[in-house]
Amino acid sequence: MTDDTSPEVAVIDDDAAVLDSFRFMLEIAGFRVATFDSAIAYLAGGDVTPRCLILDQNMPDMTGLELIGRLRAAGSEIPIMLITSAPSPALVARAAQIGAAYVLEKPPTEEAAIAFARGIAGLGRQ
Amino acid sequence: MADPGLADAGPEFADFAGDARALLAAIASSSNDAIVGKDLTGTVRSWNEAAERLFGYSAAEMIGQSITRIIPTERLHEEETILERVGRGEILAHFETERRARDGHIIPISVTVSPIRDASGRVVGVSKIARDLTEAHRLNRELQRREALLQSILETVPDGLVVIDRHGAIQSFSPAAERMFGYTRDAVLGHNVSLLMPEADAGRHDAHMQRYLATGERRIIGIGRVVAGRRRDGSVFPMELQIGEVVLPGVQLFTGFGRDLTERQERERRLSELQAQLIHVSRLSELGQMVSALAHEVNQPLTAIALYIGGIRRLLTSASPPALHQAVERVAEQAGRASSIVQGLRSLVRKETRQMRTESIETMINETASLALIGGGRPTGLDLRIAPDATLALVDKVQIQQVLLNLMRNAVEAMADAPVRRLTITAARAGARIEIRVADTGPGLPDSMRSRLFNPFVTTKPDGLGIGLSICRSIVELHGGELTAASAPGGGTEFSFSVAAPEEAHRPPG
Repeated sequence: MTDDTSPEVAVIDDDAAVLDSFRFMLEIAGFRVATFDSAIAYLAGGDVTPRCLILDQNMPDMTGLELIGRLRAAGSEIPIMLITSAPSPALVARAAQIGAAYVLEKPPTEEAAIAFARGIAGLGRQ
Repeated sequence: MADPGLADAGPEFADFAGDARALLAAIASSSNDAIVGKDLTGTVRSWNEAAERLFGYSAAEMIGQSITRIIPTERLHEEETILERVGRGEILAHFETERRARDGHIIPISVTVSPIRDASGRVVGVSKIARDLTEAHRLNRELQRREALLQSILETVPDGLVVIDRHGAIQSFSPAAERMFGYTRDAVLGHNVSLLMPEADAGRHDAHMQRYLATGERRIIGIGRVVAGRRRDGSVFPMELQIGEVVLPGVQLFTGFGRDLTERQERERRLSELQAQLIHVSRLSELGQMVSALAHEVNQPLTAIALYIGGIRRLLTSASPPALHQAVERVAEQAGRASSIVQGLRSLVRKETRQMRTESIETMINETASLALIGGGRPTGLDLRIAPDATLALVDKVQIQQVLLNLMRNAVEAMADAPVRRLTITAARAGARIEIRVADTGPGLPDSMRSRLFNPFVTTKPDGLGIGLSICRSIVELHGGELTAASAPGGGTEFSFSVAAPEEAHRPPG
């Protein structure tokens, strides 16, 4: 159940600078953002229900793909964008297979991130 | 008149020999061989002490009796023949036959029979000298037994045996030596052993032998050495040689046992080659991995820069100083440039060629196991379970062997102190993929390790053979799979990954 103060975009990345710059960029573009430094932290924040997810693949403890797998298995259909430094064909195929909408190579362009949030999730103000 | 034969015998003997008959009687009496005199009817006329001992009859019991008393029934015809032939003047020398002693036991003997002539040269009787062959036969049987045993041993021992004398001439050449060198025994007997050596060494052998005979210094005897042998067809092969010496009165022989090392050296050469290949490819992989890690690390700040710039751009309005707009664009440009450099580097190392071919999983594992299981104290048990429909995979062989080698070596190290050491590798089909699992019976994987397991530069081991698990993960990903670690059922750790099965379903026959 979303209300006006619930986050629209959740960003998960173990790199503090990347996490902060995402928040900076997305908030200026008009989105409500929640940030998490690990997939586990995201899963633990139970009352947060964002409309879409931007997710780094390469994280310790649980990778992006693993989190996607968990969420889909739990029945979540939340749109997800996976960001990775090394988008191998296998990774891309796997991501598509388990239901990531996009796989974006680092460094991502802000336009792509914004297009995802707006276009896919239909969020934010112009 | 002094007997001409005794003329030079010395004064004491000459006195004693005054009475020739007494002398001859004394000689017969002290002889160790039985001496029996018979007339032409076969009646015993003289019977010496040795005959008494040999046959068990006293002289009194035998003189005047027929010799047939001591002849076994089946040999009676011999006696007739002897009498007939010696009666004609023949001498029968070392005639082997048997006689029966008083207590009934049969004695093997060798007899020499000669005619007794009277003064006119007419044969009047027969003299037989008999030697007991019992002991000789026994020794002979023992000798044959030993010979048979030796022969059997030589035929079974895979090493070739060559025996030479002090001149280097071949005295003996075992069946294994025949096979090893390609000569038959008859072809080499008597030849110099340098025949079996390559040109360069042949000339030196004689010198070595001379030096040993002169100085007694042992350079190879009892020590053993790897040398070169030459076969009949001229080919030269490596041989481990052990040499022993036999010294008996009047006999000096040298025994050489040779083991053909060709196969062993070939195996070692193949393993070295495989090792070199793996090291070479691993170096390339390490480089690629380092670049990937670098790219990944640098991409983080570049990402942050790009996103911050994106945000800053939106914050600038038409009221902001143009210089600020410009500066922001320049920063963005430079960030983009840095990013391109990184991309360029990445694609450079991604060019590592992969050759995907259909390979046998069992072969890959066994070859790698030879390297992975070297140097373990107690041998590690390798349990290989390959499903019949999972025998082949479409992979880059050397790359997948790198992965296997790394996983196996990690497993062996994990099991170093384990009471039970078992490495289990399974291959099973899952649709169009083959799933491979490598499990050990080590202490298992603590959760805290799981996250660090695949990080580059954390797990690099200094042995030069293995590469990091991060490289393994990259290789597996390039093959379309994913490398994961989990706790093995029953303790220990299990790594699993999948590779593609070949397209046409190659089913092994049967």
